[in-house]
Amino acid sequence: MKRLSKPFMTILIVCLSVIVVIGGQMIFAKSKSLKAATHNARSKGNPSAPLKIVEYIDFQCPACAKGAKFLREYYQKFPDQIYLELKYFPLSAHRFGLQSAKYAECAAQQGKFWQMHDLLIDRQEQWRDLTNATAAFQIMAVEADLNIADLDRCLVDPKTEKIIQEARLDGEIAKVSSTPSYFVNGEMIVGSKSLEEYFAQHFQSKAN
Amino acid sequence: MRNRNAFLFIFWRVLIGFFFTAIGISKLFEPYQNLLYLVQSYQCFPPFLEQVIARTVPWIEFLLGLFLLLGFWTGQVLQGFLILIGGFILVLGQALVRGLPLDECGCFGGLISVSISRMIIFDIGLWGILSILLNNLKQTKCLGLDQHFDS
Repeated sequence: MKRLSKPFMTILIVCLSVIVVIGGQMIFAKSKSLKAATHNARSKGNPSAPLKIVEYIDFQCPACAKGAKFLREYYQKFPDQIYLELKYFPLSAHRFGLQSAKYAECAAQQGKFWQMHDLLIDRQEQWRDLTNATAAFQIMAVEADLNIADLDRCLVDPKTEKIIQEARLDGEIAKVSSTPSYFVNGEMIVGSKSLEEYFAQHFQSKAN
Repeated sequence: MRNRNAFLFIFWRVLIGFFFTAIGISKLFEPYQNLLYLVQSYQCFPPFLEQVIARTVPWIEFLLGLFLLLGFWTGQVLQGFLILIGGFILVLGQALVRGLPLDECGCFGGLISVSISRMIIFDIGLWGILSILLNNLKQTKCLGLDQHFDS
């Protein structure tokens, strides 16, 4: 049998590897799109807006706060251009990731999600490094005009955590692993820097 | 004794090769935007280069890992790894010096929360082992494809 040359073997291994990986990626992408689902998104804006954004957020993550402030600014400037759906994605590395999401979800159940969202984001620097942030969350709940008795019941209700974990699972199915992650008209964008670049391009091309 | 040493070199070659093949594959099956976010968080590359790094590094890790696992072009692959990991150490080092909040940015995802200093120590250790493998290339190549093609 004729012995293969080393350069030929190199090309063979590289080509086979590339084919296997790209084939795997295609199969994986297909199965992912079949599984994707939507649970419990909190939304605002015009549902027929040209920019439909799904945002996965952890309220304790500094980049999420930056991204949320950026989105709020654009939303105020172009309210008809943006439809925003927000989903919880509390990271286990963040001590208050789940707790802050519970406060937001309980506020949502009293129809005050965005008030609580804005407070959590605007004051994140004040609570994210605390040893215990419960008092800070309670103050924000009062400022958001929540019914405290209902809030306290909601916080210990297992359904609240279930809603958050379902939203997180949606993110995992969509291959979200970091926060903030966005899907703008279905296109995945991770991090506030990439979102700012996308918006700059989008609104510049609209202006031209 | 000599056989035992050779076994150790083969063991480390296969282990590191497998590690990088697996890391590369896992990144290739993730959306590249996740890696782009991590690269952006180091704040030391221009936007164009961030895109290039996010798209090419997983392929480099995967192919170098596979070649090391197979013991193919072992010397060149080890040199490639030394450059790659040296680069990682520099990038992580500048993030540490500048005090970038990488471990709390969410960019490593929910499962991993590793401090920059620990990652630097890991990479320095890996760089050291790869240097030893390169300095003992003959033993490292044992039971690899190089032995078949170079004989």
